[in-house]
Amino acid sequence: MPFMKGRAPIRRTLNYLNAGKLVLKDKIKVFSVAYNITGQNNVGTKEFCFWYLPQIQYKNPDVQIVTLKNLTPSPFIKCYLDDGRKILIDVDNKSKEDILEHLLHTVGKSKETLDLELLKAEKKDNPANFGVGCDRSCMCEVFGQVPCSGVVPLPKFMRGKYKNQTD
Amino acid sequence: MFSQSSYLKRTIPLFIQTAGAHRKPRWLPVAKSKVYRIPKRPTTSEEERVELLRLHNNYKTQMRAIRRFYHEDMIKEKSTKDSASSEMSQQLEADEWARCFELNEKWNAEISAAREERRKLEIAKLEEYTLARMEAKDKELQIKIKKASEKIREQKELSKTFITPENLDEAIDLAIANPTDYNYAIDMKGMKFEGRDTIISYPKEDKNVAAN
Repeated sequence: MPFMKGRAPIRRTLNYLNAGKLVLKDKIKVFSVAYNITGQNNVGTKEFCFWYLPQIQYKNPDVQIVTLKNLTPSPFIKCYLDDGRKILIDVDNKSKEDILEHLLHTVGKSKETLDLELLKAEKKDNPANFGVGCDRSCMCEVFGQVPCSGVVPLPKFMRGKYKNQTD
Repeated sequence: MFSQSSYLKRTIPLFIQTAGAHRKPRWLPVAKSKVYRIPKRPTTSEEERVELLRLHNNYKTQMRAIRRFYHEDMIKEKSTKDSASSEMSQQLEADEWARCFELNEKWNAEISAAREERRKLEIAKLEEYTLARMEAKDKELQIKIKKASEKIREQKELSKTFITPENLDEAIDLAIANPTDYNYAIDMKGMKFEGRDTIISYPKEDKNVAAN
């Protein structure tokens, strides 16, 4: 898709996608939205799909998002959990903000959990870390660092044997 | 080409520093002076052998017991810790989900109530609209019927003057008695003189005007 083409191309900008607030809980595997394109009671859901679905998909790349258009008499959102349970959320005649707010409270991760996860990810992702379970097992693997003396002997001027020679 | 890091990641280092043990290299044969030397086999007395075996057996048994004790202890501790923490977290998660489900139930109930209300209004509106339409249609039909009956009445009135086989002769007689001539003439002034055999006669003053 070209950059500034189509309807509301702002939806495709990284800033907009990153601004999405809804991060679904880990248990949710499928997120389906059913709505009609006619009727005053469908307007909110339609706008929700238009404005917020890109953000939700961006924030939840492992969740399948389905939209069912013109298949049901009234609009609803259905979430399928990994243990076989389902959550049916009726969104009849609600504005898109109301829907998002409700989803944040029910199927979205809370702010505290998100912060915690961010912290954890940061810890794991930090490229400066080394050791077991990190990108590199030893500091000496980085270019420009002093190699481990077991692999390459230290230069003589760093070694006590030569540095502290008396005679 | 090899990068710096690929060299560093090699399992065998490039340079091996030998420890300072001064040995004869492996590939050198036995020294000439020692070729026929046969080392004396070490001998242990039967008593010592039995005693050492006993001690060793004791040592091994005890060490095995201790090792097993600690191993089992660790396993037990780990399993209890794991189950406790996972149960805790699972319980927490389940609680959270229950809360969400409850919240959702409430929201759904609210919406369904609102929808019922809306549906009722919509149905009432629809009913009103339908009734109005039906009424309008009825009115239209009434007007049509009225118009039609009016027309019928008119035609009936008119039908009295129609020519029928009964009064055909009369009509013919009447027509012969009153011939109609559609011919006419127009003079320069636009005066119209009907009939073929009409004698044209102007009034007096008109004649003067014509003379002038």
